[in-house]
Amino acid sequence: MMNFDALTEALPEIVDGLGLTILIWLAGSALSPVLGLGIALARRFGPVWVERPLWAVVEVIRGTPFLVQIFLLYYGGPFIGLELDPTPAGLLGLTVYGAAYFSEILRGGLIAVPVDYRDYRRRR
Amino acid sequence: MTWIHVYLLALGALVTAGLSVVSIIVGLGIGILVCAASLAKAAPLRWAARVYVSFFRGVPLLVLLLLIYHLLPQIGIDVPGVVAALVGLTLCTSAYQAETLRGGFVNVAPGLVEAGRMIGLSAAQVLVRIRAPIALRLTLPALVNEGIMILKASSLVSVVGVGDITRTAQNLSSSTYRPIEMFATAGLFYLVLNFVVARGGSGLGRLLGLPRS
Repeated sequence: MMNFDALTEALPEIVDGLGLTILIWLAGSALSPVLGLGIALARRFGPVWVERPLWAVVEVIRGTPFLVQIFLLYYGGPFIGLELDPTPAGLLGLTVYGAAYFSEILRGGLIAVPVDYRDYRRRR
Repeated sequence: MTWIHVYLLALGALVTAGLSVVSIIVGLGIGILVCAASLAKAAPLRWAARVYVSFFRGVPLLVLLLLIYHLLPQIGIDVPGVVAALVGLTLCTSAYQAETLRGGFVNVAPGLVEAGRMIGLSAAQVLVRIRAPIALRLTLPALVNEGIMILKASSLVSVVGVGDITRTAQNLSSSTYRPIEMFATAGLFYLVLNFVVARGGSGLGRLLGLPRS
C-alpha cells in the first residue's frame, strides 16, 4: 500500500517546489503581458515587414504544445549558443508562450477601437 | 536526420491524433451528461456537477495523468500508460466541454423557449428542436478551440510512457543528439494537425450556417 513516510520526508522539498511554481507563475504573469503588448502594438501599427513575421511567430507558438517549445529551448538552445539553467529557461519559455496569447487578446482590443474615436482625439 | 526519423515522428503523430480524437469524442459525451446535471432542477445533481467541473479544471492535466498512472496500481488496478493517458485526457476535456456547453445553454434566449412552449411543443421537443441546436451553434467555436487545446495538451501523455509524437521526439533527440531538428519537426506535425482541426471546425460551422470568421 501507500507509504506516507515518503511524503512527510519529501514535504519540505514539495513546499520548495510550490514556492518555485508561485514565483514562475507571478514572474510569467508580469512579463508576458508586457511582451504581449509590445507584439500587439507592433502588429497593429507597425509596417508589413514587422507584422508578417510576428504573425508567423505568434501562430507557431499558439499552434504547438508548450512542452515541445520548452524542450526545444532547453535541449536545442545549447546547439545555437543559448545555454540556460532550467529555471531561466522555463521562465523564458513561459513568458514567450504567454506573450503570444496576450498579444492576440490585446490586438483584438486594439482592432475593436472604432476609427471615429481616434479621429475625435485628433480633431480636439 | 533521415527519413526513418520523420517516419517514426509521423507514427507518433498518429498516436497523438488518435488519443486526441478519442478523448474529445468521449469527453463530449461525458461533458453533455455533466452539463445536463449542472442544469438539473435537483440541487444534489448540480452540486455534483460543480465539484466535478472544478476538480478536473483545477488540477493540472500533468498532475492528473501522473496520479492516474501511479495511484491506481497502488489500489490494485494495473493501468497501461495508454489507458491512463486516455482516461486523464478524457476527464480533463469533459469538464471543460461541460462548462462550455453550459454556457451555450444558459445563453439561449428565454423568449425562444417560451415561444416554443406557446405553440404547444413539449419540454423534450423544445430541448431537441430549439435549445440544443442554438446552444450547439453558440458553442461550436469554443468546442473547436477545446479540440486544439487537447491536441496540444496531449503532448503531456509522454510522461506516462505513451509513444506520442513528443515522446518520440524526446527519444530520437537523445539517441541522435539532434534535439533542434526533432522537436522542430514535432512542432511542425502539431501545426499541421491543428490546421486540420481548425479547417474541420470552420467546415462544421458552415454546415450549421454560422457566419464565416
